[in-house]
Amino acid sequence: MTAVSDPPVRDDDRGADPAVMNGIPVSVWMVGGAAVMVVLALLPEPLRALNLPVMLLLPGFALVTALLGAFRPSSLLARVISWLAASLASLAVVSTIVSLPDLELTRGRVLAGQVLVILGCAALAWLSPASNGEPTSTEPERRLVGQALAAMVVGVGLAVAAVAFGLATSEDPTVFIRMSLSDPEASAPLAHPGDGSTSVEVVVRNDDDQVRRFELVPAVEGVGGVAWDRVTFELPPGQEWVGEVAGPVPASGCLQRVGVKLRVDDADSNVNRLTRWVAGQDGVPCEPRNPVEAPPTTATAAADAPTSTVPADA
Amino acid sequence: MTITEQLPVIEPTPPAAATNEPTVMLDGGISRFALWLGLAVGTAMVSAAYVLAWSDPARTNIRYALLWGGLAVFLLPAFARLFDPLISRVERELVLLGLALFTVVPKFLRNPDGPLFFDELAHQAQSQRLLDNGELLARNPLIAVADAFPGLHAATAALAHLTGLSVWQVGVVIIVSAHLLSIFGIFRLAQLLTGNDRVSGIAAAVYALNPAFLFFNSQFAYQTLAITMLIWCLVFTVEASNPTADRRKRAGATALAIFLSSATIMTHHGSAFVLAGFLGIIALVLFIRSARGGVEGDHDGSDDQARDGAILVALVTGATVALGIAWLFIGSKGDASRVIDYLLVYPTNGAQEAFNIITGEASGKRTVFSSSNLPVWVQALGFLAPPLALAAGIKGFLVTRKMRQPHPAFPAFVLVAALYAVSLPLVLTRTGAEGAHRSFPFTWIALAVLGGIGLAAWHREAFTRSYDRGRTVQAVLVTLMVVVGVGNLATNANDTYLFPGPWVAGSDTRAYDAELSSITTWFEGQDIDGRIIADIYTGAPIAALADPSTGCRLAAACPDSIPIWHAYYDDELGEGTVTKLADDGFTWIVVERRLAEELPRSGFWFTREEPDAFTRAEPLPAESLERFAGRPWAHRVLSTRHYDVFRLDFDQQTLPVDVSNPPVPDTATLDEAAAPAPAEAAPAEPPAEPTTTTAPGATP
Repeated sequence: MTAVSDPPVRDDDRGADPAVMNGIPVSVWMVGGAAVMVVLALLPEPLRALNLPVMLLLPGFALVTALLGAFRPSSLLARVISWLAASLASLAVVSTIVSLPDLELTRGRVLAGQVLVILGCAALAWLSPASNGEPTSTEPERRLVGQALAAMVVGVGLAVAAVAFGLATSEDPTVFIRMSLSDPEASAPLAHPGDGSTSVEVVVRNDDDQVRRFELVPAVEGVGGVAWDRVTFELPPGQEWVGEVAGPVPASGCLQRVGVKLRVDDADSNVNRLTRWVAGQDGVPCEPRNPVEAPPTTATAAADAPTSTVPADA
Repeated sequence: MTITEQLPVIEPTPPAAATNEPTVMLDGGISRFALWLGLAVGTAMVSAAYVLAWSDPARTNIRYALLWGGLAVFLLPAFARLFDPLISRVERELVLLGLALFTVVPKFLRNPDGPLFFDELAHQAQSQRLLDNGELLARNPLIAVADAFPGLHAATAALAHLTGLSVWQVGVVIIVSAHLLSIFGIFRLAQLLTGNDRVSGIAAAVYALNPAFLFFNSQFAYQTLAITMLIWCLVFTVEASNPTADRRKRAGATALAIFLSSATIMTHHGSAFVLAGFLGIIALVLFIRSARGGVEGDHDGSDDQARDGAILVALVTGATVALGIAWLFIGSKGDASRVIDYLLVYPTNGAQEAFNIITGEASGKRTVFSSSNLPVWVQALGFLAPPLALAAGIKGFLVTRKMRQPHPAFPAFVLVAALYAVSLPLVLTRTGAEGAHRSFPFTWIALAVLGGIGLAAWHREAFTRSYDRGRTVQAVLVTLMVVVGVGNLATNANDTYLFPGPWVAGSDTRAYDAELSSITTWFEGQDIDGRIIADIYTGAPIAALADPSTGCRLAAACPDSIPIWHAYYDDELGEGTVTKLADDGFTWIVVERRLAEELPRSGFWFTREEPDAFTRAEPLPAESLERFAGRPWAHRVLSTRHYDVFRLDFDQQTLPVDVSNPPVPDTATLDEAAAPAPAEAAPAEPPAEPTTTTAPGATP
């Protein structure tokens, strides 16, 4: 058993060749890396994803190497992490700065910004050479590192499998039915044509866990209302139905409300009816057939009341 | 001489019988493989916890046991390895790598497919918009000042542009990177401050126990990236202040520190303020020490070297302050008051609440875990965690007091660590608690370093007495570290944050279920040409994901807009309110009908300022939600089991309405609504025979 003592931080600057890495000047590594980055950035998707490790490390490598020279937190892993920090900073800062003139961020600007950073660092490293050398390690240390790496790879592999299992078996079990109008401009009052009829397009989506039988019950609501033709259909889970309901609209210059109710398996559903206000026919005065006038309860209520109407549900 | 070399040197000679026993200490072979096996088993257990949360939400204790058991299966041997002084630096770093990756797993499994937490939705929207339209500094649909701090969004959009990955995929990459950078940043910082690998590894592990690390700072949000930039700015700052380093290295470190500082400033307001303060404290300490005649001890450099360090840190500090002020105006496009007003809300309200509590007024007082749905044993650990963390920090402080300081900037970290203790009482105030929780990831940077020293000292002291005692103490220490991790997370995340499961009222992470997701998807097909009225939990995903192109889309999220709760809470929807809604450009209302059935877990439906926030005892009356249905400017264009979507057209407000239309309760059948008309009314068409079809328009 070896005696326990806390080893001091090693100074791995020893033996560093200040200007080269693997016998090649670091400036050349930077320029070459920038060229690779540009080429990868121009690839089509999904090949462009190969650029991810380059983008996450190269700008930081250039910055840290050019500015700190012989500074090295000893191991390759620690060095890579410091490059990652500087790369993310470069992506955040440089991408913002190159977009500031007209507040527009584009792919070309982002790429140009990072290339400029790397080339600038290459120039700095060339003019003031002081760079990383190769770390030295003993044979037993390499063996231990190899064992640790092997164990880690196995562990991480199994962990990834466990995560995949979790993702595959976790699912939101919420079930529901959705009914909507398909017309995105549904807000505009629907002016029905001169023949006194109109239609509404409805979408029903079955996100329940079983086949359901649906029935649409459309009508012009209210006193003097009109029931329209009903529509029934079946939908399996995950399917969507799109169709129209149509019917007559009583002659009136007033806004009238069309409601579409959804019944499921011959019972009322928990989905509220859709409502759409339709405009009366041109030239026909809006004369309430059965006016209901509720006096305002307070002065404030009177002041707040709509100017010329009494809302049906008010 | 390093800090732990100044501790009593030990020669732990285990009993002969014990030398061949598999141990977690001093016998690397077995524990090394046990560690990585623990990573796999632990991940499987955490995954199982999340599967169970969906399949059987009622089995609370089992899923918590799986979660924490799973984490412990890796953390216990990992922490034990980090205590071992014999492992190589590379292996120590591999353990830290495993720790950084493993601690991403719970949050990743919480929402692997896309953003979920409120902040994530906001930043996903901002990044997506920047990627799609290139609009920098454009208003955010949810967070009023997110536009002014575009660092995260610019980095995300840049990576997405140059790699072809989606915003969310890049977000996951950034989250994983942030964990790596945090752990290794603290490791490097502690190396520079203490000169010892073992202490540094333990310090990094302690930082992973901070309340925000597992979830809050694992979100795709600007503080997640900013805090890593801050940590690495501190790394380079401490490097610059190192009196033993050469001038060129110090100059380069200074430049990098300023670069990282500007990244912090452009990314997150709070982190920028903290960084300026942190750097200011370091500069002050260095100036005081250099004025007292240089630095003693290991760094026995000259007065000039000490003064140079102080000047360089002052330079970084000055640059941070200057850049911060400049960016306040640039980022806000000249409207700095908007950002300042937003940022002053929490300090102002927090101070007011603290004042109220001091003067005896109960307003603002908060009871810890009062509405928590965490298991009792987890809550108990929540009370235990702060004193344990403080004890380790105090031990570290006492150890360093007995010896010469390892680095001239060290006292600054002691001061910042002390702020953790100062901030703890603030958790008893409603607004102050928010600020205190936000401060923990920052104060823990310093506390981790002190705690690492303290834990290493306890460990070493135990081994000086006997090997068996040392092993026992080590087991206790690593167990207590896991306890602190569990307890700290309990103070920062409740059950609805930790686990998926059925819909929960007033929880951003549980409101966004499949039903609301379906509505969000539907909105993506619409022309959202205006703003959205909705409670904040319902409206956030719609505003952020369906069409993030309009700033302050959701009224509840923007404090500068109409107090939107008037549309729900007022006795009636008066003309004044309607006119205000029309003037403010609202075109949609999304009504969550369960507002009339439930109370919000968070205490509010819209904002903290709404009437009866935190004190509401009854759900909203159903009439508050049904009031929109009869308005001629509101078309109900979508309905599901729990939601109604109304399209608004206030131009119709003045159109004449057939007042013979009676109120039709949503529960009534339309057969009743379309009942035969009175004599004077036009006769209704007889109900037609149903037209049976077999889903002609059915599409997958």
